[in-house]
Amino acid sequence: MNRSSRIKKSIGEHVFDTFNVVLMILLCLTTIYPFLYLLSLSLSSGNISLTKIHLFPPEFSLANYESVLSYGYIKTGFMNSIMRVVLGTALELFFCLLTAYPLAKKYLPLRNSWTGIIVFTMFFSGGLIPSYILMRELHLMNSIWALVLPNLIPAFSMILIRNYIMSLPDSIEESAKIDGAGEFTILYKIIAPMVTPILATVALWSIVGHWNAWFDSLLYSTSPEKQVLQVVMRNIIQQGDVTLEAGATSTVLSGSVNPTTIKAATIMITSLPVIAIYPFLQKYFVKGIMVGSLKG
Amino acid sequence: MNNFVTLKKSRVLILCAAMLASFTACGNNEVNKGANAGASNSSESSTPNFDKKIKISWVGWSSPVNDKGEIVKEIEEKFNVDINMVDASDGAAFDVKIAAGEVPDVFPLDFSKYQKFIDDEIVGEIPYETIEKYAPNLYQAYQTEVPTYIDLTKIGDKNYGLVVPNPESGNFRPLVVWRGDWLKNVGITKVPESLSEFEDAMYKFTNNDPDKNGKKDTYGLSESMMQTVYGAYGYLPTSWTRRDGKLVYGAVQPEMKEALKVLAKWYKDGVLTPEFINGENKGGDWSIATDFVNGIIGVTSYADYLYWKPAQSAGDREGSNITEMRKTIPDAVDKLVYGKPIAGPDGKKGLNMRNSLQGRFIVFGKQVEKDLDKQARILSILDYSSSTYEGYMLTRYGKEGVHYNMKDGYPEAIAPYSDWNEIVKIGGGATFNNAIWLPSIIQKVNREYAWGKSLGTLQSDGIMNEVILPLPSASKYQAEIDKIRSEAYVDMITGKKTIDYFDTFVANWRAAGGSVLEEEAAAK
Repeated sequence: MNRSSRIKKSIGEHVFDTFNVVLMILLCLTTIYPFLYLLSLSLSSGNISLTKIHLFPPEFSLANYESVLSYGYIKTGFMNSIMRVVLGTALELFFCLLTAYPLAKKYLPLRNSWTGIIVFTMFFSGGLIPSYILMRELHLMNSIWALVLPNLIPAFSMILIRNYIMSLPDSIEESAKIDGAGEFTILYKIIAPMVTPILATVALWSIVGHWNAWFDSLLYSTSPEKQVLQVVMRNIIQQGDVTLEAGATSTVLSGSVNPTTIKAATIMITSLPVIAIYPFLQKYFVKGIMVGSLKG
Repeated sequence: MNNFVTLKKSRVLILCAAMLASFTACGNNEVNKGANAGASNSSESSTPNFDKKIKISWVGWSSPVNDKGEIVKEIEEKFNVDINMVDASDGAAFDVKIAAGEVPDVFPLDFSKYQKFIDDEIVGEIPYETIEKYAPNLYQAYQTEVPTYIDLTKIGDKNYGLVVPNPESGNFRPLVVWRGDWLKNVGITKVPESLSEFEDAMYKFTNNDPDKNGKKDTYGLSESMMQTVYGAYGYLPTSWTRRDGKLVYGAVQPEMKEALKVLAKWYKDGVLTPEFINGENKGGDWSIATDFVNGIIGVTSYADYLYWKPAQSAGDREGSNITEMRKTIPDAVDKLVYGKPIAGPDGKKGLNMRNSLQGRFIVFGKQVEKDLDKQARILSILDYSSSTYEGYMLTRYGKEGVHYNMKDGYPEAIAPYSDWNEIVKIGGGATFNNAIWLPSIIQKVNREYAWGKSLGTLQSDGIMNEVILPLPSASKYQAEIDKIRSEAYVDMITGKKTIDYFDTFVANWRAAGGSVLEEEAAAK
């Protein structure tokens, strides 16, 4: 850093840097602006004009959040979402590691065929309707397992872990063996702690994926209490879009809240948990992808 | 204890009677279906005797509905059915279930899928005789209240669906709303009715500072009132209407050239806001006429009339635009003036009038076709919920005193049931009446409808699109020719192309598939 500042920059470089910074700031603003707008809307009382754009709530109110959080299915939705995230991510990490470890061993018989079979699922799937029929015939409808099992071992994540394990020196394992460790001890005492960065990456993908997923829930769950938060949110958001009867949709609620601010609050509530987790996992996220790059 | 025993005895007796009745009913069913139906129809009670409990999978107009909702339970008890509410709010998920063979017994179906679902034998026939037998009130209402539409559900001589009337916004044209204070400020005393008077007002709104703020920051009109200019020349660009008895598409009629000339001139003179391309609503609730509410333009016909309804009494619900204007330009609210569509040089005029249908039919799954008992049960539920006042009140609003109260003769929902999601959740809203809202019932319960009717003028001067079900080839060509149309129109209005381009546009439009649709429409 010091050294580069000592080297004089030409005018062209200055222009280029300024241009870059300005462009970057603009880009960031376009990303953050809609979010700020929603945040401001969600914190506004229902009396504000919706035809003007506010970056700060003109009339501060928490009524929207109160109203959304008191909607019956929000609680069940939250619980279902958290359950699928926790269960889905934990099982995914466990089974991915369990699959990746043997596949990383060069002496595994038919290793390339096994890998090939798994990679095959990245490009071809049975399709939506057969998957649905399968879930139904397995009697997994309305069960959390319908949301967790189909994507239990994402091929891409598994291969990342496999490649990461392959990059570890064999000698570590050999020394453990000499000390008398069995295969499972080696996996859980030696390998698992060493692959934490890549596991964190995979975990983050899994968390975000499970948190955002909604279509499978809509498909495999038939009762409203079984739906995940995203589906509940979707129902609230879409409410005003179907005009059936003006009284029921447009000017629904009395003074303190109105549908638009309610929608904003709903969106904030559903996106905040992921935003809150992100900073803590992000360092692994960036590092993990780099270190896990193809080395096999 | 004694009481308990006698009660038990009476229950047993009832049960025995019920079982006996069901046996005989079953027998009748097998021997002579008609006789059974006739018998239940002639009995005085509003519901036929349904002794055997049957299961029905039901899709309401909106989702989600809780199977154990209060109104669901009411209906289950009244009609002795076990209802499984199916959520069909997402079209893609619903299609997967249909493809996997899970066809609900009753569901609303988009016009665009109607023919396909019949061809694929997903939906079954609902003969008119059956409707007449088991839903006599509904049948009667169809004949008298929406007679022009009932044949739409027929394919050949077979009927597969029930039409869903839309009295609230159907058969009404938009309300033309003027800023009365602006008219006064620019010295116009008579609300413009002819194109020349209208043009004069538009120019004055733009140039004479109608809002008296010393700045030239106003325009005459935006997208919604452009329609009245087209209408003044006899056609609306996106409507199929009759010309010499034949259905033709508005956008390609030579008269539109004249309308475009007018609009192009107004655009050039800054009378038409350049923002017209983005439409008149700019965020917030879809029903808000943003530019008008923000005091940028002086006249609008955006959104349905009901979004402009002022409070009729203290505490009455206002239209969303009125509510918004109270926040932006409160002084103008009481000075709004209602006008009419503008009359063109030949006296023609009109704004888009919606047909009085919702975009879906109610259909029964194929499996119901052979199950006469189920058909009867479903039709009875629909009949009760849509065409009897008592049934409509229960299935739309719930129970009086619990879910709604009566105020000035109209129902008013008690919070939280004023929220559509909340009332739908317990089985109200449009779950059992499935949005089959008949004018005769709606006028008793809906303030907006009553207000619209009271204005007296909203059901005339409308131009209605006469193609209701999509033309057979529409799915193939519509998207492309719509793009050609809107691009050409915008280019000609903004001056990017001259008006002479119109003939090229018509040729392009026809070549891209428009001519096929024209032929199909002409055959109607």
